[in-house]
Amino acid sequence: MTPIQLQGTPFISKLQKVALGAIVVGALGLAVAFATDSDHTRLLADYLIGFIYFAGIAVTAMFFSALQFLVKAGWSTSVRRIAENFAGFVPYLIIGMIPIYLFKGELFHWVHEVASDPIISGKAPFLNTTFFGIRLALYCGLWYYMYRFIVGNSKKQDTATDYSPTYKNLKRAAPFVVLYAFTITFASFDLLMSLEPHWYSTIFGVYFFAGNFVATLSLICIYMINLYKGGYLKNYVTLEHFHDIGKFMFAFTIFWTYIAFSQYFLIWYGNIPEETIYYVKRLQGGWELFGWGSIFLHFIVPFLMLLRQDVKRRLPVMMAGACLLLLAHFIDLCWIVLPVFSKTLIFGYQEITAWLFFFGLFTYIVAKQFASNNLIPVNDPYIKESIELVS
Amino acid sequence: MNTQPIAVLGNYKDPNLLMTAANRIRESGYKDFDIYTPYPVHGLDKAMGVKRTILPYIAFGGGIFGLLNAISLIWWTGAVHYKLNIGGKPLFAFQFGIPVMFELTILLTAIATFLGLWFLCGLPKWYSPLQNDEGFKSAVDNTFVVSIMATDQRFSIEATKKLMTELGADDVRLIQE
Repeated sequence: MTPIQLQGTPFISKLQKVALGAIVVGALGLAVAFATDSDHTRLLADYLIGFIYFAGIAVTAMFFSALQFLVKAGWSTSVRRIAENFAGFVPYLIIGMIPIYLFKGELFHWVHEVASDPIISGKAPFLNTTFFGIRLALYCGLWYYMYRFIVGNSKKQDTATDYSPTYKNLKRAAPFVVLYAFTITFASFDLLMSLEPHWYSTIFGVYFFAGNFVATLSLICIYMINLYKGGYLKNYVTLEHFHDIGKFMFAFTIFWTYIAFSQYFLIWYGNIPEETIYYVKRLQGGWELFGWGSIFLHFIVPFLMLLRQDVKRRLPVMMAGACLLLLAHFIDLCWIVLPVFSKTLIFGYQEITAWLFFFGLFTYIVAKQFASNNLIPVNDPYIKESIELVS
Repeated sequence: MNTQPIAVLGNYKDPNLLMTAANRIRESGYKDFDIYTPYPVHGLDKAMGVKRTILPYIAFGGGIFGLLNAISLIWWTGAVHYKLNIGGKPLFAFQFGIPVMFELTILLTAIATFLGLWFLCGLPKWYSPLQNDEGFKSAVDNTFVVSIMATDQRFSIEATKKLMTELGADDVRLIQE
């Protein structure tokens, strides 16, 4: 099998154009928002949303790759490199974390109240700025380590003469998946849940993971469709692979709903003020539009859309479904973050341009990855199984 | 006693031969034929030209029926027929209804799928004219058995037997009753 190189193809130049356009538009929007609004808290919140959106996708894409090694998946081998290219964003996450740490006082109000508020001071062993900074750095470090190991070995396999890089990954995949579970859970506690320091939900990490996984699968699907239409994946990816990724998207849409409802249901039934405050804030003042809207955007519409078997083989519908799920994940993140800063519904160009800015950065780095890596793990022991896939 | 032709049977040992045979029989215009295999053979349904089943629609219908049942059950029992205040919760709310809606949707989907499958397969079936044929019984062991039914419009004892022999079947035989 000959390796497929994308360097210099229209796919890369198109991706770079989209990326640069998004960066320019996003930066302009951020500049306008910075100049027109004297209170920059909202800008920081938008930054947080955009950062978490793509950081989550990058880290979860790395997890996706580890997961395929862990279960020795055959079907995904010819599309695994797409996820691994997304994971190329992981080394840069530490840079994105720096502003969050520097402006923690504006974003996380527990920073000021840890001494005066009895509830928060009870949580001081965890919620203090030193430990917070250490944790943020630790997540980035662990993610970078896992990325280098899993994706590095996966790339090494392309030129290796034996299967030792794959064996290394098979051994490490299991502890890495556990490590991912812990890091993504605590990162969601630190970056999102501690926005509401009085409130807590033990399922929050799973909720965050479910949203991320759906978004990652959707983005993989969009890249697959574009590469497939461009003819780069000929003989490697067939409609069977779309069928499988469609099943994955469908299943995890339901999983997200299940987790989101589990969180809501117990809090609704328990009716304890310190728990309900989260939903009280988010289901009034216009935010209920996002909350109830999520049921449609994140569950009912994609569920009915992806339910039929033949639909998972129709690329335009899959494209629409993937875009819808990516939008739903964005709406979901906005709904988690923004009500902390405004009692009434705020949603404007700032949110979208902040997202666009990170979208541009992410796409630019991913384009570089696509240009420098083989598109297909040609030497992988499972590649033949993947090509012959019948789902 | 008058005997009526029921079907022509042929046995195959080689799956590749079977696949070609399935293609050829379909291309010859036969509609009412079936293949019995000891294990699932990938691609055979495509070669036979089997149409997609309507089972998913039956299952979906069952699911919707279950969902509507659950909603009306919770609403009617809690908010209409026997109003009971439980912990200050509303008499009817979708929040506490969802577990029941979910369970009944799943239950009725499963039941509809199960019964729908039985219906589509013509089960329960106590007797088949093919069941006494010794060669047919080996379909559960080590042989692929092709049957072309006499109810097919193109069926004629001689031509069908000839086709089956041409396609490499062993022990081509006519089943009568």
